[in-house]
Amino acid sequence: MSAPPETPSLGPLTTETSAGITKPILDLLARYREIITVAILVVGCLSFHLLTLSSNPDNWPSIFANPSNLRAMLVPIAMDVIVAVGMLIVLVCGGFDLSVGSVLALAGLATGKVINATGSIPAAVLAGLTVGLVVGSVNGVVVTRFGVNPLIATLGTMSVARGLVLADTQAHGNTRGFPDAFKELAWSPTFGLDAAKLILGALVLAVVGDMLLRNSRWLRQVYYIGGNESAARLSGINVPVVRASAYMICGLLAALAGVYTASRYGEASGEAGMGLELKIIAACVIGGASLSGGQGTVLGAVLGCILMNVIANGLTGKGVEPAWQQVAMGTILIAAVTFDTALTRLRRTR
Amino acid sequence: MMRAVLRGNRPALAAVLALTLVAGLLAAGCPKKQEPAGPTPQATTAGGVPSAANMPKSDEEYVFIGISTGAEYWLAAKAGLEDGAKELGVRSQFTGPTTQNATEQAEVMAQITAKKPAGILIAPGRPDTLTPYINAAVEAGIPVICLDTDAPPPDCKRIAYFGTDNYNAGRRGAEILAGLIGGKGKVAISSRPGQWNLDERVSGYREYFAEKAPGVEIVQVIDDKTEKAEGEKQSTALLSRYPDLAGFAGVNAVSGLGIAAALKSLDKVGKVKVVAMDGDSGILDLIEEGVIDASIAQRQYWMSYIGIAYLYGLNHGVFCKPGETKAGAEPIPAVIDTTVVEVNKTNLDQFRTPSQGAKETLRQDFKDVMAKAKGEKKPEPKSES
Repeated sequence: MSAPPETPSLGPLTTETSAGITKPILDLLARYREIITVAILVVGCLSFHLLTLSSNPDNWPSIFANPSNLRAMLVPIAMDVIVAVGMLIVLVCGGFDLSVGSVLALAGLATGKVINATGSIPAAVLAGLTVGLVVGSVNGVVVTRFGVNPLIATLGTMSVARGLVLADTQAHGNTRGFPDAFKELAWSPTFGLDAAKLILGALVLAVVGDMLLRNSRWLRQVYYIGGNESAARLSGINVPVVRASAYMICGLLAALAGVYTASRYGEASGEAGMGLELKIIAACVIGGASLSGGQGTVLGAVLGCILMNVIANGLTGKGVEPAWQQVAMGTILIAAVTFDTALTRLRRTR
Repeated sequence: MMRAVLRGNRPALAAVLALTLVAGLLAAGCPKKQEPAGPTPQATTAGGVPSAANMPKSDEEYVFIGISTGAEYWLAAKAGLEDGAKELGVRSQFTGPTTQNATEQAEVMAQITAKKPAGILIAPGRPDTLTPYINAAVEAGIPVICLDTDAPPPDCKRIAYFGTDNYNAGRRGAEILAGLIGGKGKVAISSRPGQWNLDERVSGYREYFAEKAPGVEIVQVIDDKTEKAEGEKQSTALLSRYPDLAGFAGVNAVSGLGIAAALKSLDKVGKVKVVAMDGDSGILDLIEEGVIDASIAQRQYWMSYIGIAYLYGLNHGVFCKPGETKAGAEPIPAVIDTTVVEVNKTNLDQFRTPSQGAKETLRQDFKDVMAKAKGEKKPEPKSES
């Protein structure tokens, strides 16, 4: 009979062991916050799939997971992603851009006017993008040069831009009647994929944006500025320039979405993009961006856009009334932010 | 579990949040769609034997896609859709964006098309925007009828359009107002110039007065931006400018509210005759109070009621597309004017119901349409694309 093994002295076991497992998980989740979003996305998709299983051969394997339905989601997701990439950069930098919806509409208007006047697609697209760049610059200058709170500054540009659009549409009606060649931009069916140019464009933008934000030395500065502005300034980062550039990029991308919108829906409408800003901010936040800056990734923003569209699509497919869909969206947003706050607090106490 | 969550235990917190999310989605996913009342007894075929092909397909679904679906206006349309679906033994869904945004509606249309319902009824927010989406649905083999607002051919391949003829609606309003003020005097109109359906109503007013009541003069058409506050502001300004105004007409659902508020604040209730538009509860209250004399209500209930009947009948060989000829099938009319009805103190209570009295006063020809749709013959095989 062997002697019982000696228990080596390990000291207090309990707290250290539990901290030993939980802390790495917490850290992993904090560094790859996208895992949460992916998890929610998977749960959501699975739920909608199971909820809409149908014996109808037209709706195989379920109304939700049916290929035509999934394809139908791609266009609104692509539109949202284009704007979200820009918004994410501004959010990480510690700012807000409430003007994206109005920029979308104004850029669409400019594009529409130019295409109807000249018939030249490059000129029209350039006009639209220029509008975005200009408004973005105004936002950047007002926020950095004059130190105005970004919420107020972009609220101002949002109203001005929207007002300009409405002034025109109320005087002349919606700008419409675009040549087919222009509509091709957002309608080009390729490989059975409707709006291939739009979807691939958004995909490329997302991938490039994500890579640049993670790896480009210049763009990464937004994280430092958002995390601790004074420290960033003291370490030699040109805060005003980087911040203003963030707003310009955001304006530019919102304008790009405006050009696509005009092409896709055949007109530059006065209501285009209304309410877009809050939806995009919600998508970015659900994907891990923090409203105080310094956090968030393009991947997260893209996942957030996908999640919001999946929920809207799933609820519509299940017959839920539109009003209740809004309730659902708001609840999810609150849940996401609460979760993020809890996560941050937990990490700090461990 | 709760203690773990309150202590901030991460896995517990995450589990609770995930469960809440799933529970919320599942709860929201509880079917709010119309369930069929059960198979309605069918007449037998010529052979005398009720075949499986004759039994109502209760898994058929008809979808109505509206716009600004939060507006009270659509409640009657929804009621018509659901009542029609109940009578036919099919399912229905009422959806569409709560915003005025036609692009959102277009994406809902794309999604519904992917779902391949038996038929789609749509009130397109903007014809240009929705036309390609409607055409895509038609090409996918789904019949589409436009309600309330048209996306007209030849660009759009929708089967038919049922809605209010706005010009005639304007004429009817003018007729009522002229009657109220004794055929002469100054009147004003509250509208949103530039919105084509409202412009048509205003034309109706103008031309009726010009033809039948030349003593009535339209002094101004104000812009209420479809908002009560703005309407009140503009109406007050106008009433101050024209103190001897005899009548005031509102041509959108909100116009009457602004006019009424202005009259109350200037203490001119009863001195100016008011004809408003639609039968929203706010307008009905004001008619009851005596601030508004009458309103012209549209028949959204009828639009969706016959819409679903015709679509069902089309799918079952009872009706065919307008312009087509088919043995034993009646062509659907390409355009139906569902007309308007005067709402005043006498029939006010009818309009308090979801169907806004349209169910009780269902026109005989519309009753016939539904009866015909239900008394189906052998359904023709749907051609899948």
